[in-house]
Amino acid sequence: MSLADGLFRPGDSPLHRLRPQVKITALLAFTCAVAATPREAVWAFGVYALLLAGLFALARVPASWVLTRSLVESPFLVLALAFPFMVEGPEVSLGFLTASTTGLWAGWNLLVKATLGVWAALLLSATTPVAGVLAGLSRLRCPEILLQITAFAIRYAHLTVAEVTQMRLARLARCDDPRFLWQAGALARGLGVVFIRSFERGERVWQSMAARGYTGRLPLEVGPAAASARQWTAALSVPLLVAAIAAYTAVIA
Amino acid sequence: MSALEIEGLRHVYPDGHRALDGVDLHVREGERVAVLGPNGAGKTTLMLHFAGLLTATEGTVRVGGLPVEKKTLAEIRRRVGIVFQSPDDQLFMPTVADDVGFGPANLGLRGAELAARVAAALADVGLADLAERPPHHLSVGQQRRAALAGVLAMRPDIVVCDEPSANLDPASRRDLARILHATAPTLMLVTHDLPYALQLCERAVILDAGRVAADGPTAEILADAPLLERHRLELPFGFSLETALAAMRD
Repeated sequence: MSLADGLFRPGDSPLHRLRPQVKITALLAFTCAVAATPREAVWAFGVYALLLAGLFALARVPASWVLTRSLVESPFLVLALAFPFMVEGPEVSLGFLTASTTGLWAGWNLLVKATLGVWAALLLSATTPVAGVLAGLSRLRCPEILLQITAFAIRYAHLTVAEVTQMRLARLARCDDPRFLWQAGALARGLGVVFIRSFERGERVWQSMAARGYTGRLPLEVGPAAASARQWTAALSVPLLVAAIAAYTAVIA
Repeated sequence: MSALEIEGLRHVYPDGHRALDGVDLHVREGERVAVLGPNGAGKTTLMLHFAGLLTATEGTVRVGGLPVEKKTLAEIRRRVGIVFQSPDDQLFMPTVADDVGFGPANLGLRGAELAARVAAALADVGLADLAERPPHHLSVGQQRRAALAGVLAMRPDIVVCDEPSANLDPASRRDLARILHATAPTLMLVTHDLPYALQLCERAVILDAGRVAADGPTAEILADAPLLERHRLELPFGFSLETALAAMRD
């Protein structure tokens, strides 16, 4: 597993078999529906979480994997925990602390919607290889320049990380003492070298692309095949259900 | 018919470094030519000129009679396929098949025709079963073959390889030699790996200090020890030219 593979977990579940463009659309629709659900409809968020849990089970993704990867949202989590103590409003007492009810609702709103969004994104990443996501986005007519930048960033970030690791090992092999402050100088110089090398590599990559007839347009239509109506129906059924619940909770609220 | 004609080619880099200092070279169709020379002799600069990737300070390059100019670049780059030294610089698409399809797609091929080209090129280099793998998961030998497939898929008239044997284990080296033998129409091998040049090319050119210093049958050039020494080239320790030539005759 390397950086360029992203979070993909190879498998052969019905979710793995869905075309990437279908899954990306479903993810977008799901996130919008979750965001549109009133925060007071606590039960609705429970239903959404259960739906996602079911899909994770279908894709054979273990809960521990989802929870560790969810740590990416911890900055939001800190903000959500801070809200009840920062926002003005009617106060309630929680043991020895007092928090504002407005802040509590705001924190809950952020926490639950961010978490569901991260889980849905993890579901896409776990069942779709990076190349598939890019191909799906191209199928959905995402601007080509963004796709090119993303594709190159993924491809060469991997090489740059490998290079930095190699340089670190080479420093260690020459008795570098990698303690924090002592390391900083060598690390900074190393990063400078990596920057120059990456710049020069950029030139070589361009040369080798130009040698194969590149004139500024990436022929990215080497993408996935069209998805069948059945695939679209299957993938969109979950976000449609979520949208229906969101609409219902909005009406009764 | 000439595959490649180079006349009075000079190249001066912006920092004033004179990399090529009047190169004349004619290569016939179907010829296999090794461009030998020590590090810094101008070999890679010369190779970049074959496909118009650098602009000549002076002199002309013609590929199959067509001069390398701004308006002929697309056709020139179809005719000349370059396999670069580092596969990491060349393989950049998410999967091997996408990468091999990059060149032909730039030529305007789409759909089934493109898929057929990619499949044929991958079959030629023996990588058909790795088509959907990301290139960085392959071994160096496989990466170099994938890079070659990306060039063969454009059906070039001349295949140019820059140090193709670098970092390869002996088996990968032999595989690549066999594939180059079978697939390259006209071959230019830029290298300082003399046994590899002998194995693949009947003609060799020594490039030193930006000029052609010698040009002749590879076996004769490699037998001229004083000539090799003058240009900082040497056969590997223990290598016997007689044994190698005898093995090639069998």
